[in-house]
Amino acid sequence: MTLDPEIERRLRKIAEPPQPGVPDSVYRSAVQATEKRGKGMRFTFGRPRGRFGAVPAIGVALAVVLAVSLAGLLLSVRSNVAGGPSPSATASAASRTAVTPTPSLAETTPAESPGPTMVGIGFTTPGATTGWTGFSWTKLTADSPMLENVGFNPSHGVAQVLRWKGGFVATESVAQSWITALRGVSHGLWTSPDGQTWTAVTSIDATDLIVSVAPFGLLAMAVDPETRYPTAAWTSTDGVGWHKAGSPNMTGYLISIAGTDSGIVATLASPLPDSGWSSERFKVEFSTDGLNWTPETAFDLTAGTEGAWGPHVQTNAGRFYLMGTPHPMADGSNTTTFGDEMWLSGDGRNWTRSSGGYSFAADFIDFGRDGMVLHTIANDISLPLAYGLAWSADGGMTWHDARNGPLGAVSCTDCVTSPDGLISANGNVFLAVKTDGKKAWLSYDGHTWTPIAWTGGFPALSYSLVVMPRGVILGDSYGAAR
Amino acid sequence: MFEEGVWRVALRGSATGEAAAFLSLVQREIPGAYRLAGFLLHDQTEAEDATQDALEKAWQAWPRLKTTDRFGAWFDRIVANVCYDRLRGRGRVRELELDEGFAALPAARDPFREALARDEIGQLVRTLPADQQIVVGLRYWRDLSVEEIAERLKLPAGTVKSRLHYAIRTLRAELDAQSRKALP
Repeated sequence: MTLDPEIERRLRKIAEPPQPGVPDSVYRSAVQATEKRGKGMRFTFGRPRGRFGAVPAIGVALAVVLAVSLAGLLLSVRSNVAGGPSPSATASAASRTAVTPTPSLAETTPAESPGPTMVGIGFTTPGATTGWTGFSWTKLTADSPMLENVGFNPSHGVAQVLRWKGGFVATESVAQSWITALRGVSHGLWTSPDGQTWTAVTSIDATDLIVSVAPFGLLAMAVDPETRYPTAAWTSTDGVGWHKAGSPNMTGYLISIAGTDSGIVATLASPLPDSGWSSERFKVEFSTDGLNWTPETAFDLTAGTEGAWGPHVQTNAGRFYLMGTPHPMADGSNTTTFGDEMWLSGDGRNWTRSSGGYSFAADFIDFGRDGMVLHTIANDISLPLAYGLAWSADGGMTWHDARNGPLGAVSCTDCVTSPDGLISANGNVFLAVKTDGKKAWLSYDGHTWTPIAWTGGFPALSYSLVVMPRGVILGDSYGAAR
Repeated sequence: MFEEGVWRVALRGSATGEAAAFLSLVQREIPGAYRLAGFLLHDQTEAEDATQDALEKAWQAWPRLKTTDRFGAWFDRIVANVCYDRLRGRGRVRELELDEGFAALPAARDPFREALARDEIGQLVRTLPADQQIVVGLRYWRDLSVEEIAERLKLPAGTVKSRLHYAIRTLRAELDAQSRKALP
């Protein structure tokens, strides 16, 4: 259909590249939009379908009444996004809502040992370090820095722990998201020599940090809250005293950073010339001091559209792990950063490709004493909730598809590949908790799982499981290992 | 010797489950939606607001979505409706003098205004009725076919064609009028 070739040509000229980039605030607003319904509790709230699975429906009236009156006690699950039409939002939610009251942890499991306490703005996490047989639960106080901010984004609370020669570092994260713009930045930072007493770091005058182990001790990279470009590097040799080392020579949006005693590797993204952020190029850089960074030349990283996942680096036992996911190009075709691949390095400079062997793309790794578990994700629009697991017992060189591990798959129709619960690890032990909170398993290699006593339930609106050196944080509770 | 270790929280995203499904689908639509809104509304801030409105409406309507197969078209329709409401709220811009229009622009750079300034026709689109602006935006700035536009707007393809026809005819007339004005 050609109407007026000149007019049509001139109209199309308006939208020719370069096109305006999309501000991060727009992506954030998508997350905020989902928050509103979660808080409003008029539709499904809590943990709907997906990796948290489904539980049987018990009817419209009960769902509505309980949803309003028992906030914090319920789970609701929309089991089928492709379900039939509904006359109203409320009816829709109720008809597909499954509600199971989750007893509060405080009611069912009074603390058997001293619970976590606040020390200034630090905190303590009691519990055993080895030989875990169960947990003694304590509900966290509202002002506890361990408390996950229930809801979606931002998600505060202790979210990650690094182990280093001086002990442990705990960081708070606002988010870990597939939307690049929202990947985790820490606002809180605590150090601990023993994994029990945690002291807040207050000497860093920056609010957005990404922390890693480094050859000299610890590195805290401050990033601009809006652009996420690195602005300053802070170093510490003991985890207590921090020194502002200067401004790193990195150019790009910091995605991830991890180090060993050999060096530090960072992954970044930067916009392609004249593209705004409509297309970006990913980079991998290396440093030994946190200030002077040089590009890794081993990788020919391609560009992708905004929202794509960039490469992500982790370390464990002196080894670097670099992984990436396929992402769409601006023209709609699919390409890869590393494909579904993972690359390993002992020094951060020379890289070896792992053998793969897992479904989907590598997302992140949990490390245990005798093995590791890889969390994979299908970056495929047709499988929006496809997550999987793989395990390795040879340091990540070869992987074995574990699909859903001990958790089994969720039972909804369009997320059948997702594990039905959460798995996390603390560098020594893996813990897997079923969505219904009735089963949990322990493992040291990520492959052989042993049932463990779990009376903690599964707190409503909990999205993270953090395995600490002496216990676990799940939702609004801390379970001291015993 | 360092004993490095990274423990990652088993936190898949800031949102999970239903919200995760929604976000995983909508994130791919956001660039196209944002740009369509920007070109139609001629303003970066309005584009952000309109996209946010659309995201909220989409999330509210998400439980009623029968299938995710056509999620992009579904979301486009929401964006188009939001833009349509905003354009109607403004009223139809008539008798816009191009020079005045650009003179009134604030000093801050706006990428959409800059793009629309690539050709004077970018400003002339604003003189069209809102429903014609929408089909022009979807056709030439979102690069959709007549059939795809019809699907998104829930209109017969013939209606889309006629709106495009009238829009192009009006733009031609306006351009010719501008040219005549420019003659000494």
